Amino acid sequence: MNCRDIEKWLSAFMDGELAPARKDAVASHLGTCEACRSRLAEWEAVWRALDALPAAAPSPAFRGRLAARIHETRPAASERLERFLIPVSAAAVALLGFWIGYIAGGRQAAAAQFPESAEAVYLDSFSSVPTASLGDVYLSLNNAIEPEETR
Amino acid sequence: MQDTDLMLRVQKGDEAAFNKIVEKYQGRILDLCTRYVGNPADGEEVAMDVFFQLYRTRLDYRPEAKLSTYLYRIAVNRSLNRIRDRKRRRLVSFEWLRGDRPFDPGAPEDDRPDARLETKERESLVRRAVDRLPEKQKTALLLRKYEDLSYEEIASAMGTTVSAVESLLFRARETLKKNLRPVIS
Ligand SMILES: [Zn+2]
Repeated sequence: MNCRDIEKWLSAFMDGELAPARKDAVASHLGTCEACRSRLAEWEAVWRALDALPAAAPSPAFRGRLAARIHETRPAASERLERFLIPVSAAAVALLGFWIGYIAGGRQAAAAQFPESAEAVYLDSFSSVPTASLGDVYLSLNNAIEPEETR
Repeated sequence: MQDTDLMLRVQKGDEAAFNKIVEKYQGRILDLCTRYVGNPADGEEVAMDVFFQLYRTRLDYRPEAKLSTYLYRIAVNRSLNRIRDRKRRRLVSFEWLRGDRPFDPGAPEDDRPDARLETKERESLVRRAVDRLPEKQKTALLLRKYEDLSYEEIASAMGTTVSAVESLLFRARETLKKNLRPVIS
């Protein structure tokens, strides 16, 4: 084993990461080779010089700031309710669609017999839909095509 | 309680378990991030990002992964991002340019003004030498020297092999030997 081989393993030797057989080989070479010993000494000095970089300690505010940041992004109760309600209201709108279709179909049939009362039922059913809500938009679309359907 | 158990609790929404993890690892993560990005203010921001990401993506954590390695990996990625961002934006702090740090290093062992200057000078030389290392060499070096990780842990944190780590540390030592000549003589 020559100095070149040893040089390759010296870094891992310092770190205690060599397999036992290789470690022994390096150690016995170092016992006889001045050049490799001085190289090792140099690297050890480099390693010690790195101690000049100081350790950092968390500021006392660290934990509090982290907690605040996590709570800030955690959904509030109202938001969680919203997350639950969005799919629910989407399903409701879909159901509403079927129902309107059903009513409209029934209304066409009813209109032949009771033209005025059918109109009243239709309007009353949706008077509580808030303006600009999904339901409202759906209704306005539905109303827009209504004249076509009843013609 | 083991880290894995703590993380499983965090996944179920246990805030106390998360606090335990932060308490256990904040020192090490902050230390790595600060040395990585070069100043304590940025280091703390990055460390906070690391724990925030751990919390935000808590459901992605798999118990097969060692939590410490998992955290180190996030810390390395976040630190690299911070450095790249800074380079891109050229938002270089004054402290960074001067190569020293804005926080108090504490009383030097020897209180003579020239001794203090020497300590500062050494520190800034070392910092510059470490910062000039290629990214991967720097990462391996920081994890080995200051966090005392084994080659296997470093490989796992860096997503590479043990032999690659061995070679990175060899090259880092060679480069540092040249760049730190004034400090070690
Ligand atoms: Zn030799």
